[in-house]
Amino acid sequence: MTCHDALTLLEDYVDQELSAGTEAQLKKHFAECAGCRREFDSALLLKELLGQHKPRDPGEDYWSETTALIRARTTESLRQSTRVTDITASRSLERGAFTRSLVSVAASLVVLFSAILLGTGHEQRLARINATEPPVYIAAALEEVVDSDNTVIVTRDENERLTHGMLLLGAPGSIGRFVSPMVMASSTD
Amino acid sequence: MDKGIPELVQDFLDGDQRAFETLVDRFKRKIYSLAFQVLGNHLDADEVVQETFVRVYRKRQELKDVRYFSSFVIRVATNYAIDLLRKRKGHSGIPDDTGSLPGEIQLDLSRRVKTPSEDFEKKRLMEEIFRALEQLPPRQKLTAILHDVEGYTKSEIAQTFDCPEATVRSNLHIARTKIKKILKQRLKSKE
Repeated sequence: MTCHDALTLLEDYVDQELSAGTEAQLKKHFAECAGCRREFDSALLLKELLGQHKPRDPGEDYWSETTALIRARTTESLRQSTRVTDITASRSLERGAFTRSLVSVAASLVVLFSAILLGTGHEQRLARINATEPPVYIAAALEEVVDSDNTVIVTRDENERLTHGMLLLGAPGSIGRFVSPMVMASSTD
Repeated sequence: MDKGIPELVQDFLDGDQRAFETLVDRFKRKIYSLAFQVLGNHLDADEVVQETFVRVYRKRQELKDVRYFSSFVIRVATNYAIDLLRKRKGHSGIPDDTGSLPGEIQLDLSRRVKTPSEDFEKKRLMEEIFRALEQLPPRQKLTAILHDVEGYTKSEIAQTFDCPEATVRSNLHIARTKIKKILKQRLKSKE
């Protein structure tokens, strides 16, 4: 074995990673070569010193405190991830509520526009009715419940009910018509 | 009977908090020792210990095989220690008062120390070793510490750094050569 071979294998020898055969050859070389022997001693001493370069244990008090801190931090980490799930669920619920609100608003708007459309068609319907059965403006007993311009017409039965103090309620356009008894009499004549 | 590391790791992955705490108990001293040697002071070592386990807990799903838990923990610790080392660059980690701080470098060289003057000489030598380690790039420094101080095998270090064993061998050789160069005079004077 040459010095070059010995120095190449030196660290593996220090780390005890050589086969028994190679180790024996190296030992033989060290016995014969003072230079390589010195290198080996230096490498061994360095490894030994590094191995002693260990810090002193900080003690049980330190470890109980540190373990408690790690436990608290990892439990907190668990809580945070649970909190994130809760927040996600809560946001999902909020989103659901928002969607429901939107649907409610949309439904209300549909009802409102339907009402407006029905309302605007009311006069046309009245005109159509009045073309065959001319309206009779309601007398004093009804003035309190009909519109100020006296355009609303009710049926005879409704008029009777109204004159007897009954309240008439209904959607726009549902109010009927009132035909004067005189008109009815004349038409039956 | 105490459970082995792979069983504990599996329990931990299945959500067993007590298994995690047992793993902390088994690895905390190794991490502290490694961090102290890399960073040179108790406060930073303490930070590395806590942060390592918190990160291991949070990143547990990244662990591909329960058998590699040790390498996984060491990798998390070394990465964090390297980050701290870079932040602290230029600040010497050598403790001013080696006699009172927790985590103080052990100078227990009783096997070799015979007289107060030899004790002093050994203490100076250890300081030189510390300074020599300080001058190494992080990866070489960690390789030397993991192998020569902590006793990890080259294969374990390769797994930790996710590199070929030849790289570990090369880093270790460079690190030792540099330290030896720095210490050469002192080592020669001991002959």
